[in-house]
Parts: sequence; structure tokens; C-alpha cells
Amino acid sequence: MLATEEAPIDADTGIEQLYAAHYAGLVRLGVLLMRDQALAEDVVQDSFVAMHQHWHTVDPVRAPAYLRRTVVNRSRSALRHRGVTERHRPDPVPHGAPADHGVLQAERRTAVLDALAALPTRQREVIVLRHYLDLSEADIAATLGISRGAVKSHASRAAAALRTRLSLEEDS
Amino acid sequence: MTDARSDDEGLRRALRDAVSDISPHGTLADIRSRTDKVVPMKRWFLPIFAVAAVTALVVGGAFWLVHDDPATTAPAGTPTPSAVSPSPSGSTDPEVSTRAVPVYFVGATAQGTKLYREFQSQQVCAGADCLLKAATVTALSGRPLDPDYTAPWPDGTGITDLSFEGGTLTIGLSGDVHDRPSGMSAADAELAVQQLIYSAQAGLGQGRPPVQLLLDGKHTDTILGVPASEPLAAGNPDDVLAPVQIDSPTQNAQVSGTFTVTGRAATFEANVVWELKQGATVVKHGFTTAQECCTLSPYSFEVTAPAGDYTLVVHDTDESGADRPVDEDTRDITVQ
Repeated sequence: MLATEEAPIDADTGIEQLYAAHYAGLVRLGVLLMRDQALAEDVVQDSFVAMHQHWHTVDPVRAPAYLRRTVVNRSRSALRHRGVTERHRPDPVPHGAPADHGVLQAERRTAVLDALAALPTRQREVIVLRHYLDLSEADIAATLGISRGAVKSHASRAAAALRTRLSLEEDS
Repeated sequence: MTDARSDDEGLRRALRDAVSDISPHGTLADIRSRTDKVVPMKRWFLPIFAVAAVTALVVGGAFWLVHDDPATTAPAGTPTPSAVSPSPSGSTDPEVSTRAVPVYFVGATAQGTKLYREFQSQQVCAGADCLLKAATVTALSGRPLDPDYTAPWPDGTGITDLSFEGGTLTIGLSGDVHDRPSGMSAADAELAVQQLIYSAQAGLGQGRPPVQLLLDGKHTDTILGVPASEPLAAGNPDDVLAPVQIDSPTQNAQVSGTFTVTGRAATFEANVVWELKQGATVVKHGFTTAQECCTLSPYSFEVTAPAGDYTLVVHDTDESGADRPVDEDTRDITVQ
């Protein structure tokens, strides 16, 4: 047990690279899941800190997937916590919607976030992982710890609900 | 088919568009400031080690922060660590908050005793090294929350020094720990040393640096009879750590009706099986997969259950057909 001096993976460097590659995308993922940019930023930063602390348990190759899963799980917890305490009121519109953008565009974006927020948690997670992150069914099942069958049924229900709410055919 | 595909494309575009105007706030520096980084530590260490060099003694104690309450890091009834003397050099940040302190304890597995990680909720100061101190003190003189685990160190073991410098973590011990106590096997003694190494490394959060153990401020040939003159490396996690572990919920936790279980497992084909029990009755059960097969890697799953007291059991599967014992970890929890 004594001799091997395992070259420690440098947590700081790893986190720096992950931050550069994934921070913005993970915050956007958090906004889709929680409809609240400030909360999304908190969750993503917490996830990076947690990742740093558990760096030695994570295979660097799998670090992005691990981080993504952490963000999804923590987003779920954050929403639940908010639901219980109602301490934190959601922002109706994400920060940073520029004033000079078309009102219609802003409205459409808000409508999408509202429609997502109206979905059951699992459906929202599955649809966002499927269509925003482009994850495979298998990856979604692994990320959420549910079966592939459940991924399928959540995805189709969520897609149907979103299409109804948003009348997507007008856009495509 | 084309309809479904264009519908998918519409959804994809709608989701992308919905967050296209998000410009995230927060920087790497915000994260860095919270990750117990080495940079602020080094500022404290340099003068301390300069002093040590001059006096030709290893002078420690830099980590003891005046606002840390020893009563919370050492549960009642256990010896408080020695030499918890306030040090003005460390008291830059008075903020104390509840943090999850990672600490390892000894427990049974199908392959003998190994280490289980437990997160203990403790009042911990906010400085860079506070988590390291809390984890190390708890490893030596704390108690596991889970009654299935045990703390391996003899009563009265204390800490005199704790520092991380030049890539080596130094832990100075006090107490009757030079020789292996009677009644402790050589394997148990090695596991106790590993338990300290793993806990300190987890608290430090800087990977697995080698650990130099000192006794009464000086180098020592053995700790618990284990050769310790040179810095020690963490053992291979697949040998030292229990193959199925629950990180969350913690023992006796109160959880909501739907809760997430997280942990680490090294199991056959990464299969992780769980049951929620009341006595011998299985109320809920399911399975998930850890991220990797055959080596310790994270898993998580969600459980929904009516209010009540339960035992959560997470275990691997017996694929041998030989009815061998399975590895498991358990938590007593209350669903609210």
C-alpha cells in the first residue's frame, strides 16, 4: 500500500477546462430545467464545486457526463426545495433578454420556458436531455437512473404536451 | 416519419432558441474561491515553513481556526483532539456554516472490512483548509453516523499538525499510536492508516497527494505498527474502499416523498439494485447502473415512497449462482 505514488489528477486544471467548455451550456441547461437563470447559475457553480471536491472519484473522461448529471440532479433538488419553501420566486423572464429584441421573440422564448415548467419534472428532464443536449436514450436513462422504457414514454408525452402548448408546426 | 423528424427538429430549435439569449453570470474565480484551493493556503504556509526550517522543528497548528467549535467536530463522549489552540494566522474568515464533511469509516463487505465514506453535516469554518481539518479530526476521533461502521483509531488519538505543502499532506498525531494495539490485526491497522489518508485527502479536495504521518511532531518509524517513515500513498480504491456505498441520504435522514439516492459502486456490469424496506417487507425496489463497470463509480436513482420509517438497502447482484454474499450499504431514513 505504500510504494505507489499515484500521480494525482489536478482538480484545478480539470475544473478550469470543464468550466471553459461547459459552464455556459450547463447554465442554459439549468434555465431550461428551472426557468430561473440566477438559480441555474447557483446550481451549476455548486456542481463545479462538488465536482472539485470529489475529483479523485471521477474519471476525467467521464467528467462532463458526471457534471451534467450533477446539474440535473441538483436542479431537481433546487426546484423541490423552492416548491417547499417558496422562498425563492422564479424570474418570469430570464435575465439578459435584450430590450431591443423583438417582443415576439422574447414572448416565444418565455412561452417555451413556461411550457417546459408546466411539465412534470421527469418529462421536462427527459425532453431537455433529448432535444437540447441530444443525448441518446441510453445516456438519458443512465443520467437519470431510470429505464430506457421510461425515457421513451416520458419523451413522447413531453413532446406531445409541448407541441400542443406551443403549436410548433407554425415554426417549422 | 418525416413528420416526427420535423417535429423533433422544431422542438430542438425551440429549446435552443429559448436559452439563446442567456449570457451566464459567474466566473471561474467564483468557483475557485469556493474550492478549498491551494493558492490561498500557500500564502499561509510559506512563513510557517520558513519558521520550521529555522528551528529545525516541524511546527504545525496553522490550521486551527479560532471560530471552529471543537464540540461539533468531536461528538460528545469522544476525546477531543489535542492541541486545538487558536492560531491567529488562520483566522481570516470568521464565517461558520454547515458543510458536508467527507470522512471514511470501517465497515464489513463480502471481501472483509473496507472503508465506507460518510458525509457528516458539521459546523465548519469557511477557510480553505477547514474541511481538511474537520475531515481529519472526525476520522481520528469522531463517530460514524451509521451503526454498521466503526471508527478504527484508539481513544485519545489527537492531531498536532496538519498542513499541505509541496504536494505532501502532513498529519501530526499524538497519543498511543506508535505500535499496533493488542486486539488490532495488521490488516486492520493498515486499514486504519488508509482511513486517515482517505479522509484527509477527501477533506483537502486535491486529489490523492502522499501523506506524511508524524508522531508528537517528529518523524516516526511506525504508526499503529505500520511503517510510516516515508510519505504514504492512498491504497487502490478498488482494494481499500467498500464496493457499494450510499452517499446520500445519510443515516437517520429525513427526506421528502420523492428523494434521490446517490453513492458509488463497483459492481458486476455496473448493476446496482436497491430495496426500500420496512422490517422484512420490501415496499419499493428497483435498479440502476453505476457510470462504469467494475470500478468504483457514481450512481444515482430516485425513490418515491409514502411517509414512514424505512431501511434503504443498496447492493450488487450475485451473478455466480454460488449464492455468495452480496455487497451492500444501508441507511435508516424517514420519509416525511
